[in-house]
Amino acid sequence: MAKKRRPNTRPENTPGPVSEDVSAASDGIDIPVPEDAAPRPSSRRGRARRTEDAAAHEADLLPETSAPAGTVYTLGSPNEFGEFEDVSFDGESAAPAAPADGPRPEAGAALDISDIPNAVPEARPDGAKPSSRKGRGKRRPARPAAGKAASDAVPDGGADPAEKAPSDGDARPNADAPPDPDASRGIAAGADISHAAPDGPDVPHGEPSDGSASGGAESAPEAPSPAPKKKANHRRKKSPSAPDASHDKAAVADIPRAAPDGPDAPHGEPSDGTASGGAESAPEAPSPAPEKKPNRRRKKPQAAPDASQDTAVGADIPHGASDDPDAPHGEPSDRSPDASPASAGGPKAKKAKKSGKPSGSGKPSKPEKDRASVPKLGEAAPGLILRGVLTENPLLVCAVGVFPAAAAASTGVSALAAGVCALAALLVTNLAASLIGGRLPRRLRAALLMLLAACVSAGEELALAALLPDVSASLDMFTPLIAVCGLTLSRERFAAENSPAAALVDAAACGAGFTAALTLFGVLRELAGSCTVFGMDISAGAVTPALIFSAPAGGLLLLGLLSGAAKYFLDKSKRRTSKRGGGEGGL
Amino acid sequence: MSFLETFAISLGLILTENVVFSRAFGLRAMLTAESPRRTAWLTVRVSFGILLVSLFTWPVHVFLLSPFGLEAARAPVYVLIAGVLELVPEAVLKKTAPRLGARFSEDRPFVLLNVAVLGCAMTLPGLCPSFGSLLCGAVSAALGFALAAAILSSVLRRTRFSDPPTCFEGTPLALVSAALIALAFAGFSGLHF
Repeated sequence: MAKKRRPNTRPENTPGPVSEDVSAASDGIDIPVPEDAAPRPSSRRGRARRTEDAAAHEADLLPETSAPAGTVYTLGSPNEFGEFEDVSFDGESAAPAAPADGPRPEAGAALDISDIPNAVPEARPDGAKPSSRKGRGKRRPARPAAGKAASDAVPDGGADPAEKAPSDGDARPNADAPPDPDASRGIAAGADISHAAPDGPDVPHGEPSDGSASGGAESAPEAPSPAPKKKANHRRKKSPSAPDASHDKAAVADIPRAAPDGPDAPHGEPSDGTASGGAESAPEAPSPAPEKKPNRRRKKPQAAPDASQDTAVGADIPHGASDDPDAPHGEPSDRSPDASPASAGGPKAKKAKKSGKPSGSGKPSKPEKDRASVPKLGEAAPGLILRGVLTENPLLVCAVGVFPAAAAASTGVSALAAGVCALAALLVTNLAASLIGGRLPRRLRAALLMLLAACVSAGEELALAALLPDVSASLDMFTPLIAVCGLTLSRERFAAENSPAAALVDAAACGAGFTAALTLFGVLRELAGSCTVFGMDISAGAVTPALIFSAPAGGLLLLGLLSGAAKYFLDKSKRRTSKRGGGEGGL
Repeated sequence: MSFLETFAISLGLILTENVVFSRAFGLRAMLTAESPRRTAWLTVRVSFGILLVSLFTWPVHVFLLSPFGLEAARAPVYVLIAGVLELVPEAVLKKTAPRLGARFSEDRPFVLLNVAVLGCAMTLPGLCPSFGSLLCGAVSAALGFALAAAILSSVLRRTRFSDPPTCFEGTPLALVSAALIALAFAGFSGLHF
């Protein structure tokens, strides 16, 4: 069988199945490549281009020898017969030789390495440097692909890796197509595959998918890493700049890499050839830029979870975390659409009003921008009340104040007393928070408000002991804790951003909603636990009470059921409202 | 303090009078922190806070509030102590080691100023008359909190794989799960020494 010979353009740092000394010694020397050998990263050009070259040169350059397939020769070490010595690439390590008389595969078919076992791991050296901006043909050491990585790849690619795998074969011929605009379709398909099976185990985290339609798909379809997705997203943004990318927009649409393929691809963008022959290409001058970008991007999403973590952890803490944990400090909560009305009357706004200048240095701040569209307190008050009592009920919807409900509100009376205590503390702290405003750091302000709430609770405890000793005895030590529970400072952020009047309205609404829900809860609990309502026996001994509802376990159970019921009715009313409004409706 | 007394206090605060399931202290935080890492970090911080604040508030209760009949003022006093313990080290740290102090951002929640810590600080002096028993009780309460956090977070992670009705997703399901665990813990209430 005639052996192929092609100019070896394999860089020195691209080890393949050929041993290191051979690859080093064969620089610029023609090396016969077995016909069925796996394509390796050998040049910057794409696989299709290289295949063409190989096909064009093989007849002229390769000596017609009868050496078995896979024999590797170097020009520098011919044997005494004038032939080239078999240095290292023995036929056993390569794919089984094709029959000499058999039909010679075409260029594209010859590059199908799917039949070659371990072709990709060998073609992807561990020590290979990261690819250049064209970024393909090189892979980095193996990175264990977690299950999450696979799940991450699925939604973006729009298909499961397992589902993508069948398209592998379709994409490969396209990947070998010449690097003209026609090839963009194939590249897109190849990129799709490479995303569905992003680079296998030895693709580094954050490294772009090699674009090797064959290599990427074959490497490890079931072990994608999440990093290529990010890079891919980055490239997708760039893709419209490439004229060829729009050629097959439908195919590229769900491809995160969205390779702006083709010869017209701008500088820095992956070219067609590299996209199709990524497995073979080995850029000689890798630039570090494509590496760093994903890292930077990777850091960004980490900031948000940290913030959410803190607020989630602090949800129990009377730090106002239940307001809107994601809202930045000093900005009204997004969850409170009515925050803006009162913000016009806040201390900063007043100061700005007096001076007649915008509070910011150059640009008007966000509250100032919104001031024109801010309704007055009278208009916003119904919204505040509705939100505090129903849509964002602290106990049933936001699950703030679970402790007084489960531990203290075992009867209707005690529940009502606990609610009133919380309402009073909330009113005082909200007013104080509004007056303090942004004059103090938020942490210090929250601590001071807690101290104030504790003082209020001490007064409440004394008042209850004097006026309602039975209730005071039933609440025991929970009264001071009710005042410092999460509810008290849950509206602290809103109050600090708004006028005292708005803060009071908000506190009254939230406190009333909490008191009503807590009283309802206490009555139901008392009814189930002792068959009485506010101390009056209504069953006349006909029903045996379920004592578990008097214990905290029963309280939690009842609270969970009530919370679920509240959620159900709120969802139902939302659906009804959206249907009336002509919206999409439904959940 | 005898060994039996120590054992009774420990077992009582870990199992029968667990601060989470029998008093619902700090339950809200655990309902929201589902991630094991977050729960572990929360548990460590709150447990340490329980121990620290209890140790600092006990002398105040015994030597200042109780002799003068000022128990009604315990809440503001305890909040003041916890606030000082929380904020002063932060301020010092920000001055001396700005890099480390920068981690204490404005939006960071309080570790010591929460219901679990203050509730334990208010409960323990009544249960533990001596300092030794208070130390034992504080450690037991912290261990009980950690045990409850571990169990509850495990159960809440399991509920992710369930398919409840839409209205029961999230907090309602977490509350019902906590109720069932609290019911199981109520079985320990028969232990007497």
